[in-house]
Amino acid sequence: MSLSAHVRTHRGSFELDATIGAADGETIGLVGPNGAGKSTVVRALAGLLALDGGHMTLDGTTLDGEGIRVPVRERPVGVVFQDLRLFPNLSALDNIAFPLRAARIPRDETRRRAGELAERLGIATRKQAPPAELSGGEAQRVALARALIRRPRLLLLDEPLSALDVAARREMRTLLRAVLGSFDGIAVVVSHDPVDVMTIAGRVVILEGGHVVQDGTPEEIRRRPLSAYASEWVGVNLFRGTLSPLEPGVARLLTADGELFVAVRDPLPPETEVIATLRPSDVSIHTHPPAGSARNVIAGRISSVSIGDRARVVLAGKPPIVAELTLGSLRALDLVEGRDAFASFKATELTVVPA
Amino acid sequence: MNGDASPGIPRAVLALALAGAAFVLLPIVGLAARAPWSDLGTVLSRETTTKALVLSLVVSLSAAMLCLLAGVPLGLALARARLPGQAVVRALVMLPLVAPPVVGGVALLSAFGRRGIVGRWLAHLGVSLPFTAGGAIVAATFVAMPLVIIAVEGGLRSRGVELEEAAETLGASPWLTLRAVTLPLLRPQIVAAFVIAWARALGEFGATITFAGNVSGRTQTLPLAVFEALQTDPGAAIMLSVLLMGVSLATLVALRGRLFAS
Repeated sequence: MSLSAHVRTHRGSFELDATIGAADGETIGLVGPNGAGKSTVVRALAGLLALDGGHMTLDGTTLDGEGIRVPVRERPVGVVFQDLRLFPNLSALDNIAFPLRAARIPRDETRRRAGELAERLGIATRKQAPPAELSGGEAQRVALARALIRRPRLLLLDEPLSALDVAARREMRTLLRAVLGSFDGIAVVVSHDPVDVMTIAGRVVILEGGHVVQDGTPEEIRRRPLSAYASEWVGVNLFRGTLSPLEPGVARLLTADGELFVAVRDPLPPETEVIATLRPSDVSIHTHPPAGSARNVIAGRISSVSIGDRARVVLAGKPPIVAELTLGSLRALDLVEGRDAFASFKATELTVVPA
Repeated sequence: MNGDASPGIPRAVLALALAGAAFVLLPIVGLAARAPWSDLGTVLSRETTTKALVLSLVVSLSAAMLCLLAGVPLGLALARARLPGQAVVRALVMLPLVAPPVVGGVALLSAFGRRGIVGRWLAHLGVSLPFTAGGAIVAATFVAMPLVIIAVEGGLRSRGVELEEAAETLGASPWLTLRAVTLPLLRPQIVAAFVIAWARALGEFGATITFAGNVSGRTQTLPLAVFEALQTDPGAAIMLSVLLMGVSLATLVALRGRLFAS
């Protein structure tokens, strides 16, 4: 593991004690309810907050712990703050070039490299604009470029999409996926939106009350969420595919491994790339073909049953569906692994966002 | 005054506000009414007047610059550093603002006078501040510096340290952060501080007359010249006052809203 951090700190009665590890090239989604300590973890990893205990090692170099505390400015860590913190007195380009200027790189090279990165992130035409004149999406890109230009080994992104409107959010999500996909360091993305996390991060760390309650791939968390927050926010069904109009109010979502019917309010252009989410608690499981009005009925074999406060059932259909039901229904239906069953849910239960 | 523009201001408050405005305006009107305008030329062309005017400008501008030189770092340190005894230092450096200027003059004599704790060493080096133009600059700097400290500290405190933190994560040294982020953002406050300090220095009387004396052509600034003229030639005193008032008014007009906007 290339990042190994045990972040321990406390503020008043709030105690943070979280262990986070990651390999090179990995993108971690850090999620949790408000007040869970997500931003505190970011500040601690950036070195802006002194640890009370624990340690942090990046690429084999100890940045915190064992009596060591590497100054913030010497850490190979880039931060995109939630409030961006662009320097209002500098142009977009000079903001992006700032870290190179700090590294005493000659001005020509600084400007050239900043210009190239601005181009790559699609803000080449806005280079001379002061931050106050940038749109939300442009400002976000400038902040991202500024954090990336020094090629940090660890990139921290605190709610990088939360301030954006729907359209800008979609573009930024796509851009982030591309940028992080080619980033060879480690990225930690803080978010409270399951779609953002699961489309950007390969692994999710769930923080609640200052402690890590779960750490796994989105798939693992979907299969077996370990807390109410995990099942509510991260454990949702996620389908990516192409949406085509079918009849008024209904569209067909073609995924890589199946198809679904989705209620749509406005007419949409054909072949729209979307991500649809479905809460497992909105899915019903039947042992016989259901006769109700639910538009989506998926047949398949039960591939996993996990039991907590409620039961989670994974149906290996086309596409695979995770359902959540009470322990009572689980017992009444006698659902066990290997049994054939049907999942049903209404077209209106799916929430669609542009991919 | 338009009723829509001032919602919810009680009549009694408006009446008091009018009285306050009249109180400030009447002396200015009085000055203009009583001024022997026909003597303007003779008073202005007197050698003592021109010398006092030039000295006043030199002293007040030098003092304002010294105030920035020391006051900006002090304001920065008070707002951002976490040093032991900081609260005590803050209270003490504000003292010249509230202490009577004449007391300030006496204190300056005790420090930089010929027998002062520093002055006696300066005397060994052949430097003597009291009763020199340098002394007048020191006196004006002493009384005006708290205004710079307040402006700088207030400007920094209204903003927080978010941008400096960001600069730090981007690899900036404290010096680069100061140069590229903190000072440029503090520019409006520094400009305002310079002007306020300059205005305060221009009007300085008590500490100057105590520490630097009232030597025509050497330490007699315009306010001291006004004071002296008042005892011998009241008409000239009024003309000089009009002159000082004019300089101040020009400053206010030049700054317009900028002084108190931030």
